[in-house]
Amino acid sequence: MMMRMPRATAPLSPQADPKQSHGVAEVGGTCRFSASVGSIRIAGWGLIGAALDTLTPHWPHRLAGAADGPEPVHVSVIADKGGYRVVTPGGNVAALWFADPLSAAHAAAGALIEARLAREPDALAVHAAAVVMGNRALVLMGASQSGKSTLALHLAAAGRVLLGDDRILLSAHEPGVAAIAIALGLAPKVRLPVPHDLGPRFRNFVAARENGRDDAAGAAFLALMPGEQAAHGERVPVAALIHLSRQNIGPTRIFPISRSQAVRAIIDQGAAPHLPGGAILALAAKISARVPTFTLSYSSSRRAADALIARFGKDFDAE
Amino acid sequence: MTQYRRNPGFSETAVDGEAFLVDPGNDEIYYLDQITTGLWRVLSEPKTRSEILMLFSAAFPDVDVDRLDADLIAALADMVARGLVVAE
Repeated sequence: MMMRMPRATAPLSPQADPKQSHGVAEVGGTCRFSASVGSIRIAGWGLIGAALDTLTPHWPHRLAGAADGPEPVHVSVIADKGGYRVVTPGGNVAALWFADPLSAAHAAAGALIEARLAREPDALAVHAAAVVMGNRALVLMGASQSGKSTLALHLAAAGRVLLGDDRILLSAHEPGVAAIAIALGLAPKVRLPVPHDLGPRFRNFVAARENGRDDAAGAAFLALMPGEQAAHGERVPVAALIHLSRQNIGPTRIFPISRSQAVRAIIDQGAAPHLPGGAILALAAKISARVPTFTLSYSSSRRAADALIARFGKDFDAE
Repeated sequence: MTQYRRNPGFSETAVDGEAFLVDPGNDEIYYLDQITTGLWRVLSEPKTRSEILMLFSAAFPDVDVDRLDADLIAALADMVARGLVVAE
């Protein structure tokens, strides 16, 4: 059997309706998001700033002032035809049009992540959530609907620090460390209504931290309390990669997978628009050789979170 | 008689005995399982389908030759269509 790997060449942000651009207008200052080196700037902040604040509660940013001097703008948001256009110079999110500020903010966040990723050598963005156990990261990789967020929030509600939700940067660049997970500071998101069977601890945790809603997606954004979520840029050595396989029924099982399966999972869930395919493959092969990778097959996220703590928590917390 | 050979432009990374290839034209990454990786390895030198079938028949003596041949025809057609293998 031969498979073409579905490597993410699409933007890290959602798709939009392309429209002709006429009479665009830029409004509302420039915001600087912190990055590993310097900052990443978004012009037109006033148009989507409130929405982007909701998406990036743990990614430090501030309005630029005259004292900041000239720096290139990485993302521009402009008002156009009753909606918003998000433009990145030479980027994948170029000139997409959105009807509402939240959708435009999602696209801008995707462009921010691309710009941030380009400043990390030997790194890719992985569709994953991650939690800190002891002083190491457990990275939960999976496609949409695989339960990354729910599982990570179960672990956060049980006292583990959330390293991130939806997107994590994975780097194999630092000498002496197998791989590093880098937090982006994005807001975790949960689908509504929260199912009753997730339990009172989970429901109470979510209810106390809700910080806005995406009505179109039927989801709530959370802003975790101080100390509950890692700030943007926090770097934690990776203990294990967990590939999520959610089932309708069946027991919870955690089992190691081969390096080849790990490479496929990383490529399948990874994105690095700035790197050629050969570099992405080499990076996935390097990470798979250094970090143990497991599949978590589960039908109950509550039991799966307990299983992860039982399997990984004791060793890592004791370190 | 048609001969098949690897497209030398594809770069290969082997992991656990399975090959991952990168298409130099469009940067696509391909994964080959153990059987298809075996076919890729065999085609390091040009071979006809009959020559490949003889090698695979020897490697898989319990598999019916007609079934092996059918699988081989499908795999070669797929690899040629994607440019991994050149038929000449």
